[in-house]
Amino acid sequence: MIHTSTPTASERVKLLKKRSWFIKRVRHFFDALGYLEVDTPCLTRYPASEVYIDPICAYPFSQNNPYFLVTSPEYYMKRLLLNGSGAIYQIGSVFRRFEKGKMHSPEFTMLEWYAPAYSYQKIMQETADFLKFTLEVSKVEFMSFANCFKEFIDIDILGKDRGKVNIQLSDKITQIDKSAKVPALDFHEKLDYLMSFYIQPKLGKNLPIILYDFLIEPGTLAKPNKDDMTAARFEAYYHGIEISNGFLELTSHLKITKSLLKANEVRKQKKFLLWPIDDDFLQEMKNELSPTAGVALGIDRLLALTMGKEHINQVRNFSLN
Amino acid sequence: MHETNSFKKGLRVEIDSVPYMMLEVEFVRPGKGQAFTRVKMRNMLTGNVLSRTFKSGEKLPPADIIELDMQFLYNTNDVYHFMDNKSYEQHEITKEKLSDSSWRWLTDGMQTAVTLFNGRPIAIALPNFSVLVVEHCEPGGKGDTVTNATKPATLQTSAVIQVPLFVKEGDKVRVDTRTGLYVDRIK
Repeated sequence: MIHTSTPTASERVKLLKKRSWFIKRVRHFFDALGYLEVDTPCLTRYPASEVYIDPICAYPFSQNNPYFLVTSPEYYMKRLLLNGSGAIYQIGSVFRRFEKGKMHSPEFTMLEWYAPAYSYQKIMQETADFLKFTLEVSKVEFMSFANCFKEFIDIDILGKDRGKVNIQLSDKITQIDKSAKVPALDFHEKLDYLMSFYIQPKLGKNLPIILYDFLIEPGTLAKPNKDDMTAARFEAYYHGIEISNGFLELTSHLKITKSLLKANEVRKQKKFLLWPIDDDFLQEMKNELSPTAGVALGIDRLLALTMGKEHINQVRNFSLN
Repeated sequence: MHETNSFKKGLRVEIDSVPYMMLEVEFVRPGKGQAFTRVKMRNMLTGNVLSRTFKSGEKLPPADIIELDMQFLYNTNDVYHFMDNKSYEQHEITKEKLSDSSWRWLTDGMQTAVTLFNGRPIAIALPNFSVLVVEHCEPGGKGDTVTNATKPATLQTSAVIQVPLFVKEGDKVRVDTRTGLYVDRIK
């Protein structure tokens, strides 16, 4: 267990310098493109409505009045966009309950940026440019999410016969995972399972790869594509690790509201804890956002990849245990 | 109940009336989707290792496992009798339940750690070395100076091990209980 061994003082200083240098490079990239660096609070009255992300509670004012640590600066940054901030980026800590693992920590450093008026193509290209710059690679590959499933497991996940696709996915899981007993999974969970254990480890072996047109998922504020099955959402992977997630933002107040409610509905079905919906955010979203693209990226993972480290605690100045 | 977020190496849980010990725990989450916890675990009854995947939030009951220091008293045929050092309570374990054939190295009075599942012994841990009397072996080849030559010897527990040629019936030999190999002869 490399990550639990205590680094020496000189290793700590080396890491401090490396992180500082790396984050300066990140700033340099966005400053040069005319983005404004912003900082929004870590505390929030309401957590983001996400099906699979849980916030950490905090009690800044009184014991009976829970606030939350942000799981991402998304809602705050969108409120800045509405105030006319123009293109913005932020580097800061975000917090997610119960996330721990080689590439997970309950607190991690996130880069998030928003580009008003960007097209889907343009935001993906900019993400690729950023990856080329920070990972020092010559090229980034692209593949659609559906093609990725065709390529790796030979299943057309957009097939018209949904029942058949569902059965094919189940068969695939049993076929590739004979030893591991699999829990009961719904359609999206099956995709998540195959992605996590079978496809993802093979993604971006040589060059970073951007998968685009993910299926529409409740709670994700990504704009649906015309096919009504996929959304204008993409993720970047390198050496089997997911480093980034971006999309064209939903701008309609009604659709955003529906998406947040749907996320909570799904959480209810899955018997997850239910969190209040962010009314402050929804109120402000009534003045609809102009078309905007946004990307979130895990700085610790990116740094771990550039430094060849296997655990993100190895690239954070302090690690929680 | 143990929820997935408290899964860790060494945690002991019960699945389908079988106790398992977690050996490796891996948290995995695709970009925005369902998080999974994949666990490699050992069946504490058979020693088999298997891997299972859980959705985050799934729960498993703890296995009622305790380890007690016990002294080995004696055996009658295939039944081995132990006594709890603290409570003086006696426990019986049948030969087949003594996984990894630890019965081969048990000597009267030996201090052991016995693992109990739901109050029933399922495994015992022995000291690393055990001294046993050779009950039977062929006389060593006279003048045989070949170094690594060995011959079979039957010990007091009826275990058969390989010993050097100079070992005689009635000798005491030290055996490494982890490997089942002869270490040396005790004068």
